[in-house]
Amino acid sequence: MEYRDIRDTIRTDEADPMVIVCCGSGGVGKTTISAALGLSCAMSGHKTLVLTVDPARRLADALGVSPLSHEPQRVNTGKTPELSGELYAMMLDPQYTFDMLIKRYAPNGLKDHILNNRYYMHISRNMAGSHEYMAMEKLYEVFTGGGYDRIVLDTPPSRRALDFLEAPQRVLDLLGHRYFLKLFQPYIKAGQWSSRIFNFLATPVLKAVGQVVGHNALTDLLAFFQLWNDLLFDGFRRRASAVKSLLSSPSTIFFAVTTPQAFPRTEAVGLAHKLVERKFSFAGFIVNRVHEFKNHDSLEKDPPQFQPGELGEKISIAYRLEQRLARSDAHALKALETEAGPAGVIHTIPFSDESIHDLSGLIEVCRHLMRLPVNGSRFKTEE
Amino acid sequence: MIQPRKPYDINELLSCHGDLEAVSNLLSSRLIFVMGKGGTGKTTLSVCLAFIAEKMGLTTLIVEIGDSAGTAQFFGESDAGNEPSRVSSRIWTTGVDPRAELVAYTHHHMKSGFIAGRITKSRLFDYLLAATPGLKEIMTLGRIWRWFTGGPDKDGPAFDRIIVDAPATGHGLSLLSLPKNLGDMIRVGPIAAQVEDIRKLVTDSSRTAVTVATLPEELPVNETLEMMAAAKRDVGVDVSPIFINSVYPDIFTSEESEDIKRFFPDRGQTRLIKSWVNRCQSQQAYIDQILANVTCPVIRLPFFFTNELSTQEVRKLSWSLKKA
Repeated sequence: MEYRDIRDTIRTDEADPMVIVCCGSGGVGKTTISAALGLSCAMSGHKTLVLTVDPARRLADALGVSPLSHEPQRVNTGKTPELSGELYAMMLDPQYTFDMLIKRYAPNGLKDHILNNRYYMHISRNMAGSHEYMAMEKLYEVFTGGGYDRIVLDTPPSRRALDFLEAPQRVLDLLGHRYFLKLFQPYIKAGQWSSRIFNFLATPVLKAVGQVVGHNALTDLLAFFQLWNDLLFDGFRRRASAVKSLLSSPSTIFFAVTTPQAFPRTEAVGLAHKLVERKFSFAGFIVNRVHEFKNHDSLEKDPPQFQPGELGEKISIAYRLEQRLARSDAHALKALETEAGPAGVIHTIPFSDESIHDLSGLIEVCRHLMRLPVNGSRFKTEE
Repeated sequence: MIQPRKPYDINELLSCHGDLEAVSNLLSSRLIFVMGKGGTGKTTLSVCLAFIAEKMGLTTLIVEIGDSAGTAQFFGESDAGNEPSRVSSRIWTTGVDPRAELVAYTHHHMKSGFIAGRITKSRLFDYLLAATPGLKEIMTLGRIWRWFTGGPDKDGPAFDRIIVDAPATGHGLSLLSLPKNLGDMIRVGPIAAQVEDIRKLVTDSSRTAVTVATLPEELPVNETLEMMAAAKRDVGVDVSPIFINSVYPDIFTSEESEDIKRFFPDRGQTRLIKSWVNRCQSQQAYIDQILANVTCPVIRLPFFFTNELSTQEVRKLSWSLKKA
């Protein structure tokens, strides 16, 4: 295993623009890590944008982002001496992004038909994969818009770490399958929208489906897919393949974020293997919230002496439990080394007493990633 | 504040606290939905409840929704499958495949098997399932409904308790709120009729309970409070009780804590004890936030100071929960 300075991986001395994607299952601290990675880039002088998904309120406040602003905001970094670059942040809003795409591609007269269609509303708000799809879409828009040296993407919360890679393709497959084009073909050039829908309903298969789910539901669905295939699909497909090539280019790197816990760790390893297999640039694991104990074995043999009496006994209990946890984490890291194989670079961030919700906390995380001395006291490390 | 008796027994420190009677109340419902975001210990809680039910002589089915298989994996199975499989003497686990449900459903409601076959093999079918708001959920609930109402399966038992490990995304509420939403979309047809049955079941507090697992941290606590409000507003159900997972044992009195913070040097081994105290105080603040905002019972589950709970540890946890 290599414990490497993150600055090598995020190529702080290179000027070419780069995208850094943070994947991982829910609850591992992806948003905080993304912000810290963004800060690391900015500390090396790069103009950096962090695209974040759902930060805790205080972290959002520290970054100056809100779901209401759809433009990158400059993060107020105050007088931070280490910070030579500029840091921007923006909160992703999948539904807004989807709506903007429709507004861009749909002809004027039909925009409202699509935006108000109930299937469209469902697909853009709730359908599995649409948030991931829109995160990639926004990333692409920002990247091609230029103006940033580094873009850090925090991925939407999902149980499975792999969702980010697979979901957008599922959405596109679903929306762009040949079956529908074939089904629609005879009617596409046949005049008015509404009359076409009745034509569809005349086919025996659709008639039968209508019996199961009800005709109203089917009419809505058909209206949506008709518009989609006629007007939007080509534009979306072209864009999706451009997004794909951005993600697989060497200028995009992926981190798998996890904690020492078994479930997210297994997910992160699975993700790493998939990334490598598909020839994406996998940059390594970031293991968050590690309880580090130097020499925890010797501590067990030679327990620390605190004052005698009741308080001393309580302290030694607390100490023993912390040791148990540190051993469990050390065991988890060992397991990760084995599972990750020789190519697996592992960065660790020690457990923090308090949740990290301000700039100074993020700077400490950065310093851990850069393997610089940390003078703050919030991290549970033992010198 | 709970003060353990001397001498300090780790097993006693790592036990459950709070309104444990609420656990018995919860288990008096036949259908139990366990909500909560990923990483909050939903699976551990579901298994714990099933262990308690097992001790009471009840046969329990744990249903996992979506592509999660945490419970099945906990019992050493590779995936959840689509039919109940037995993992302990009175515990069964299963997943649900909404597509297979819709296939069966379509065949059941079509006069012509030929047309039903064409439909279920067509791509339109997958469009419908993915794009129709709530269709996946209604199929999932429909399957649960059949386990709930059905007698013994051909090869399996009738289930005394059904515990649903709800999806980790979107609060898992999409599953419960759907009978309401789908009612608007699909107004006629056989599905519409089933929605009404399921709506009644989900909102009937004599048969169905909804509980939630959370952590004493900022995001999980806020999300839990939001979810509970939405459950009340959008579905009309009261979530109760709340299980707070991974709570540190409260061994220091508040005077001791203050002394440790003030007088212990900020380095080496004592640094760790200070950090323990900070952690406990921070957790307590989030627990207080929950207590101040809800009227339902709150139960604290201990942190086990390990990354992987063994079956043994979860059994121990369930005994501690059962001491009601």
